[in-house]
Amino acid sequence: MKLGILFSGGKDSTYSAWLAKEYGYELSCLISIFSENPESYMFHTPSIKQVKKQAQTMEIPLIIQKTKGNKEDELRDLEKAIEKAKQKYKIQGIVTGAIQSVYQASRIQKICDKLNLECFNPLWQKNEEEYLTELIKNKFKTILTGIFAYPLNESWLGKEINQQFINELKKINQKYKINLTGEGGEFETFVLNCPLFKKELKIFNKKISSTGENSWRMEVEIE
Amino acid sequence: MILIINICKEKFHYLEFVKPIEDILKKEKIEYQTIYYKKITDKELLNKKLNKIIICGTSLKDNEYLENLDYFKWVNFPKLNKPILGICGGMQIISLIFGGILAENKKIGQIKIKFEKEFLNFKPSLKEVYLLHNYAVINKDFEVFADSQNLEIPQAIKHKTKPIYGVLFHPEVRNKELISYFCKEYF
Repeated sequence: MKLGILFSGGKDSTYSAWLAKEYGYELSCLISIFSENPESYMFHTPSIKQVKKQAQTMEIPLIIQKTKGNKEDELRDLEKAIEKAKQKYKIQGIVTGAIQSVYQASRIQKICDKLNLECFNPLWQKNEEEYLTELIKNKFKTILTGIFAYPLNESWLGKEINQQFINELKKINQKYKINLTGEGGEFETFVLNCPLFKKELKIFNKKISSTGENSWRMEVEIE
Repeated sequence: MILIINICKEKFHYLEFVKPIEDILKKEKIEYQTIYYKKITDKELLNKKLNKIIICGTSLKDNEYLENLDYFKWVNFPKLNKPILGICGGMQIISLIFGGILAENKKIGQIKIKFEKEFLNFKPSLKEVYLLHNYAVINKDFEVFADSQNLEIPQAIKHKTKPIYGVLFHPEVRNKELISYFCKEYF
């Protein structure tokens, strides 16, 4: 079955894409939404433009759809992008990186239903610690590119998800109930290397900005 | 031991509709065995360690199980006599095996449903549940414990004389305690 991956460049969509390939499905295209709204309800925004470099190293075609980013536009533009993927690459299904978000998952389910496509959510309800441990075991090199929740701060930007990261986050989780996967919007990630990549991506420039209280973003540029 | 029945046509859907249920059992340290519905034999059903059975759901696009109900005749075997919980597509299967009828009723997303009577330790109250289905089922041999408000769509049912339960919603999302209770308690 030919599949389109809803792709943000972060760990959840990249790991879901890898799982689809491991299960024997064809990754026909990546679909990325560039939202002009940094507070997007649906889409990951830090360093989103670098998905082009990730798509290149995976040698998978990329469909980019821009959106103004208010609630209704986002869904209409997402549907437009998925429809384009269906026509151009003959995809029969969509893969998402949804873990717990019923808001995100049910909206994508509705679009897939309307377009008569299968909808796969391979990380659905996955245990948070088990998931992060699998990422490390399967050689995913992932860094944090957005921080949006106390007590995380600017010093967490650029940190790699490794065992030490999991241990530190678990300690914080005991006191502050931070979601270990960041799916509650606590942090956003960017994948620099994984088994789907032909080579590791190298950062040659980064720009950090504060976007409000307890909120920092790191825009990276890839060689 | 709990027998988990996978009805997914696409093997990739195991991760979405079966593994979350296995994870609940793992967390509760309950022994389980998972099997694809077309591979069930007397060996699994007559296993002396078998306590209960869960039939999982599947994706909106997957209705293959409805064309293969013959694989589920065992649900009504008197000699089986084990508690069964059918989730979504699993509820449709158990209802149809006992002569129920399907009604088109596509629903996607979270809604509140009203439990009129206690059901698998869910007290009478409103509960938020996650729905993902194309069909509801209606069967007079089953008592309705919860329905969608004002819609009269059965959301939680139990066979009038057998320990056979069905939920149209997905308890592995937001209502995991229902699955734990079904697996742990004796009834």
